[in-house]
Amino acid sequence: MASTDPTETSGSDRQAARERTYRMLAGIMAALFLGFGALGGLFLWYDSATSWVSHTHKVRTGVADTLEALTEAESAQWAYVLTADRRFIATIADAKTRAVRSLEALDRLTADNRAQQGRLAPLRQQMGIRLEVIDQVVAARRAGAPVAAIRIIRQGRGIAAMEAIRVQLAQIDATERQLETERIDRARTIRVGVIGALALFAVLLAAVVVRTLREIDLDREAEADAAERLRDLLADRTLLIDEVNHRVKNSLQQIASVVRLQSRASPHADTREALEKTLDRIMAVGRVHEQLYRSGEMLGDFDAGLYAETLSRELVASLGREEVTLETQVISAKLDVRQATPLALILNELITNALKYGCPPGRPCKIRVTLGTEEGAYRLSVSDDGQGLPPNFDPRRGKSLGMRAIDALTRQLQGRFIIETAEVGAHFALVFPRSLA
Amino acid sequence: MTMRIMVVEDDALIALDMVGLLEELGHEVVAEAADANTAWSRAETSRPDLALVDIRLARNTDGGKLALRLYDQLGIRSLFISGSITEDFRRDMARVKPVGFLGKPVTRRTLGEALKAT
Repeated sequence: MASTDPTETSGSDRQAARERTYRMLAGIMAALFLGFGALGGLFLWYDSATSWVSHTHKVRTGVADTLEALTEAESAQWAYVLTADRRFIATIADAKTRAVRSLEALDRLTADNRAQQGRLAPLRQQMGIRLEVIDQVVAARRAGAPVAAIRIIRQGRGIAAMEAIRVQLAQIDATERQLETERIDRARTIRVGVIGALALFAVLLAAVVVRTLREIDLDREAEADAAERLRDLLADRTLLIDEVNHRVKNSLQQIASVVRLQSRASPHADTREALEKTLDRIMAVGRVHEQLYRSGEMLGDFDAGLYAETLSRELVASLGREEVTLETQVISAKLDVRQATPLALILNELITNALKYGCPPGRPCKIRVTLGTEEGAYRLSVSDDGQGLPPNFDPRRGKSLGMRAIDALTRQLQGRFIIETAEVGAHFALVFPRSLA
Repeated sequence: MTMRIMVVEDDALIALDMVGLLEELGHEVVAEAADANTAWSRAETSRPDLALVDIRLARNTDGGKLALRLYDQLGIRSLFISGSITEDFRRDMARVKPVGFLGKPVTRRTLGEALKAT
């Protein structure tokens, strides 16, 4: 694979495979239509060839019928001359009709063949003569003169006509027989062609089906490959995130440890307090990381309510004072990851301040932490029931890092920091948008 | 109740901090080690009541394996401390009755609470 990005490679592989399948499908459709068209044409050709064979056969039957009818008329004429039985007159009439009809049929059937038509004209003439002679013989005999009738016969005109008829019919038949042979041969050739084409078509179709199946297999393989590569990638990614998470936590621990060691080594209470505050801030940030990422899981949402609850409990508990009670009332609020750290640090400052100034040692006190909504934004508040703020308290002018940090972080959150007036204790609130602009 | 504890941690400053925290909490640190092999030999000699064990240790040794051996052969239980503790790890360790699993960063309070569980 030339490409370095496995997702890209597998994607284009699959696309190529799918395009091949589409092209193949179009090819199959075209081949099917063409094949069916060609087969249909061949079948029509074969059908026409066989109908020409049967046409020729009809002509030959017409020839035989004509000759048979004339022969029967001739025989009946003899029978009538010998027996004067009137039944033979009817036979003669019937045979004559059949002879004329057969001739008409021959005329119709050979209308497209000039040579055969040329033979029909003298045939018709000779047949007229033959039938006329028979009529004469029958008339003479009916008049009661068998001798006269026999004389007419012996003149030989009828016999000569009959000979001419036989010759003509034999020629017509010979011509048709030759045509029939030719046409049967042609039909046979076409039939072989049809069978051959059918076999070829079947082979092509089978080949196309086999190739298409192979293409589908290739596509499936490409898909399976892609899925496997994605699984591997995902596993790699999870492993990497786990590793980074581990290192982040270890680094936080290193920083926390160094600060705590320094604090323990400091002879001055002020320095120790400053370092402990720093430690709290580091831990507040560490807890954001903890909540955003849990081992084996993807990066999660930051729930400000859950965070406020956990952090306040943690800070109050770490104070280790029974007389401090905590009251929380928070909603679940999923925040943008970029909002998490500033919010965490503000919350940390407010709660540690409330614990420090609102709950001086030696008297019971209550800290209240709430998170709710206000006009489409979130409102976070921290209050205590201590002595309250000095009358001219201005967070922006103070030297306390905590308040200056809150002011700066509030701007980062695009929110408003509110100091509420209350009869008892200090009340702070932060109103901030649901997401950053 | 004062316990005799062994600290197994490959990061020197974190180890120092843990020793400080444990002493603040009123316990005695009887041994320190940065890798599993050293930890094993120190445990055999000093026989601590409990081991504070980081999972990834120096010289590519494994805190989990160490904890299994400590419990199986010396009956010493462990309190694990690590940046990432997976569910698989918790399951694998259930047999040796760990005192707890502490995620880093460790605070004085979380460590104290975990040790109260013994």
